Amino acid sequence: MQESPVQPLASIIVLYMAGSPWVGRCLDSLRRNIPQSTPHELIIVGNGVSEEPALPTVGNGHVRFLRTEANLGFGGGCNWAARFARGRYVVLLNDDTAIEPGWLEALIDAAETHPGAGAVGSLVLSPDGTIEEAGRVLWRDGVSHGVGATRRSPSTGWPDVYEVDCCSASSLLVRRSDWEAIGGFDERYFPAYYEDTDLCLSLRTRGRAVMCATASRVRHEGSASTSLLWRRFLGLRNHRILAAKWSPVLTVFDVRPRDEPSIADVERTARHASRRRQDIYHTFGMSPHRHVEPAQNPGASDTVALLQTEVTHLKMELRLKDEYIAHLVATKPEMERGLGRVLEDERRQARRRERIRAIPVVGRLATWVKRRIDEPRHSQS
Amino acid sequence: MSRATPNPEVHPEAAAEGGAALQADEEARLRDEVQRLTAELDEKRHTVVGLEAEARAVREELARIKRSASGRLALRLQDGARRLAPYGTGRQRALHNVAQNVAVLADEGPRAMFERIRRQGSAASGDGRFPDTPAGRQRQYAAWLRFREARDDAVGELVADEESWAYRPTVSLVMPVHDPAVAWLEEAIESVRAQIYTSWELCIADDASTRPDVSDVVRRFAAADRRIKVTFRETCGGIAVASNDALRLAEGEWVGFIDHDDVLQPHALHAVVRHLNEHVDADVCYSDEDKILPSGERGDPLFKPDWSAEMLLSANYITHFVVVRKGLLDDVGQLREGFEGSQDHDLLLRVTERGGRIGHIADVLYSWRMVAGSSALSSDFKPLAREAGRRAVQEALRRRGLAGRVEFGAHPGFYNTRYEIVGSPSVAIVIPTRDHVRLLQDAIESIEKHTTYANYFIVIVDNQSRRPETVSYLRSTAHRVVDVDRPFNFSAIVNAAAAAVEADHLVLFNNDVTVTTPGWLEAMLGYSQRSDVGAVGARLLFADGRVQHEGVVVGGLHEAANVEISWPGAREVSAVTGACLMTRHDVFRKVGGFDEDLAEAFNDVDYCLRLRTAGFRVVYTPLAELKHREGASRGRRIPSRDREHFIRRWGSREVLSDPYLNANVLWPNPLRLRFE
Repeated sequence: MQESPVQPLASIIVLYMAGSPWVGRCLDSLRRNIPQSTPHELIIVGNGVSEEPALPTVGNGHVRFLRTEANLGFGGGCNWAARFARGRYVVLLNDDTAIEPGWLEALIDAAETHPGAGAVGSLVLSPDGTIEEAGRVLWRDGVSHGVGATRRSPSTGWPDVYEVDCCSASSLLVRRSDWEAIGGFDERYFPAYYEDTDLCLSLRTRGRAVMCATASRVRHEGSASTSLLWRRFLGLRNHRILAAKWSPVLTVFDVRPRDEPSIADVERTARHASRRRQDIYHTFGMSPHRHVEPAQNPGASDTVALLQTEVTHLKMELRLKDEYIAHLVATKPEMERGLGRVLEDERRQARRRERIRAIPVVGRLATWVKRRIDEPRHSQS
Repeated sequence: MSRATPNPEVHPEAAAEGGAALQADEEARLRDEVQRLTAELDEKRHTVVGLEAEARAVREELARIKRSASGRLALRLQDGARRLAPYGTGRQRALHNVAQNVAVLADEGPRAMFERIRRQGSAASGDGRFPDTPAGRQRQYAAWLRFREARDDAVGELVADEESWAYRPTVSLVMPVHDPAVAWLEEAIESVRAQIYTSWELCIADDASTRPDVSDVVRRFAAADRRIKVTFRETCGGIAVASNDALRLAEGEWVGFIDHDDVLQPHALHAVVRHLNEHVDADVCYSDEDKILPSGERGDPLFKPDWSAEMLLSANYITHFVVVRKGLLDDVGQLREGFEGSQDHDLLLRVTERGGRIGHIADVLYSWRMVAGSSALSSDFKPLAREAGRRAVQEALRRRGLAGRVEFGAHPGFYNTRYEIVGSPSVAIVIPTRDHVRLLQDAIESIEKHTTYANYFIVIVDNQSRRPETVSYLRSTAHRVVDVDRPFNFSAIVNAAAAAVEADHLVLFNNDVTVTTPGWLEAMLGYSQRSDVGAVGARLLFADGRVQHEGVVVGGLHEAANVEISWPGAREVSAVTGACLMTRHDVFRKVGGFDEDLAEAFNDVDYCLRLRTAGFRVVYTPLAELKHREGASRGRRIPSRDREHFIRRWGSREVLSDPYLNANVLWPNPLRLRFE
């Protein structure tokens, strides 16, 4: 691997976990859709990948492969990768996506023409071709919703680049100066969820805007393959971390109008994103929150630094698993009690049915009805 | 980066010779630690996999039972019915009915089936078609309860739902006890013990009950369930003191209040904690409630709107079931003595003004027992309690830095606030008109006769009046006349008038409206002068005294329609009618006035919705009462162009939802509940 002669403009970071079925396609789409003329480098991180991966060769720019033994989580992995980024922009891309032509150019173009923007997100399409998000709206309770979600194309009358509350990190450009100023992702959200919202809030407390460039498009190809219970646990846990960390700042945001806000609710609220940024900046400006610890032992080599990070994250994961086990254990008896009640109900109903069947005519009628019902039917509807 | 073959480019700071050895030691030590931790983690993973599998098995079992139970019966019957009689036909409705009867017969027996047939004979069949009489409303509510119970049937499902919650706080339930009927006290305590959500504690303070069996019952429960804590007062201190004693026992993060003879529905705490998980910023949350009628049935439901600060100032609409963050309660200082009878209203006013989120659970979680003598049955609130309530509201205004006088409202327990007007802002009353000079003269005369506020002026906006008597009146009148010479477009007329006048506040005033209450302008101005209020609406009556407008509801049965809400106090609403609407001139300009694409209808509603989107409140006050001959000057027709434009912007009635209309209510008056 050679240092590329040209200073890259963008450093694209792709993180993947062991056994990711998507990363190959993602890298393939990068190779096909990024022109040589845009100076960029690609940093690919095997996050918790113990074996050397068989990745397709990637062309068109300088490529660097990194690998970690322990899972550093999404934020930790990106932070590690960003140490090696040399471009003016750090561009994060999820491995379960495929980019469309013009993806990188539109992001860079938006960042160059909007110097006030600290981050620029892409329009994310879901596998079925509808919009998953074109930026996000954040509500007072810390939950966010994608702008334009479920639409076939962006709402008419909106500019190509507009300000939003936050963007998911599935495809997000962050100006490197801003990235360094806020210290990248807050790693307390290990392993994942809500760290992107947190990053956007950090940027906005510094008065920096988060924008969405709809000409930059990625398609989501897959979804998480971990257990639903685990994901729900993480989502709720990290939501609480976010809410606790940002509680005063969140009051600037609108109250979520209903549990599942309509497209119109979200779009209406999205229009005032810049006002909210100003409110945050003027009310809370330059938040001192900087929860990432400075690089331990700055003189250490990268090898030692990585080992230290890995130890930290392994310890975090152990603690988290303990928390999760406690959660599973705590909820078990109640679930079983619920099951007991349902079974008891079932038995009661069965007894009642038996009593009714004992009545001569009624019983025969009920049995007949039951037989009709239980008969397998091949209806066409 | 492979560790076995270190990447050559990953060592930016080449260490000094001596440091290299140290570095190597450090590396080896860290590698060992990584290996040890990885092994430990692998072991944990096994535990997790096992536990997850168990949890999944229980969940699948629950889902299986749910599928196989009575639901299957109904599904299959429906399936057959669909083939015999397609949807929407009379045959389908009849068949549906028969199938339902058979299902009732098979599951509950013949008596239940005859009962059902009898009920149907008396009520027009079909959901929601109940006569608007006390008996009809009771039947509708009973049907709705059955519908909800059928839907929320499986306890197991609720429990499975709880499994995903990260936040499972202890809720302390506070129950002051003073001489209840023992059977009812037992029922109240049992209703707490039957909660699906189990992390609660019940804090009972017996306020020196004179019935000896009361303390026996309380002691027995406390001995049987360690979540029940009791304290006994030596002397009778009243409800506030007793509640505070009970509060002192509370150790949970949240505190709920329950009376000694009321009943908490089994899913009450479940619903509350689910709400708290979904809204982490909540400080207070309250639910809907109903009553236990003397017959033992549940009835007389109170389906409340989402949080409305003005409404709480006009009466305690929250009452039960309410849960408050314990820390907040400690901050504001518990219940106060001296507010007996309205101590809960006083407390709610104090806890809701701290800026936290006030959540509303649109579900009936609490049943209030109608007992002779309790305020659930006798609406004649004791005079002392009324005065205490008035004082509580008056103090709330003082705490909030608002100058105003609180008066008794039209009904016991209701209060009207007359805010002091700050300074003497100018008010322009804008009356658009086309001919109909009689109406116009009536309107102007009524304004001049009844208005007590001094700094106002009238602006007549003439839109192509042709009749000679009108033209001559407009020439001779002393009031200012603004000419808008273009085809009728109400929004354009209003915008033109607003552009032509200089005033602090505008009142849009239809030419077929007349003033009947003297303090009307001050009442509206009292709200309009507040910086967070965008528009203020009034109470409009038809000439025969029927109510025409007490606010506008959006969504439900209509995209937007006036309602008679029968709430004799001020409250926030989604929108108010433009027939009499006060708004600040700067706010009007800021949001861009009325939308001229809405020529005739919905322009007022659209304006209010845009105000609310921009963060302003829209307030309705009954203290400004006017007569309205709606449609006297223009027809009632709603042009489809306007409707379509409105729907494009805000959504149709199925999509629109009004925070001030309960989610269970399709239409407030006559009450129609949602069966969906």
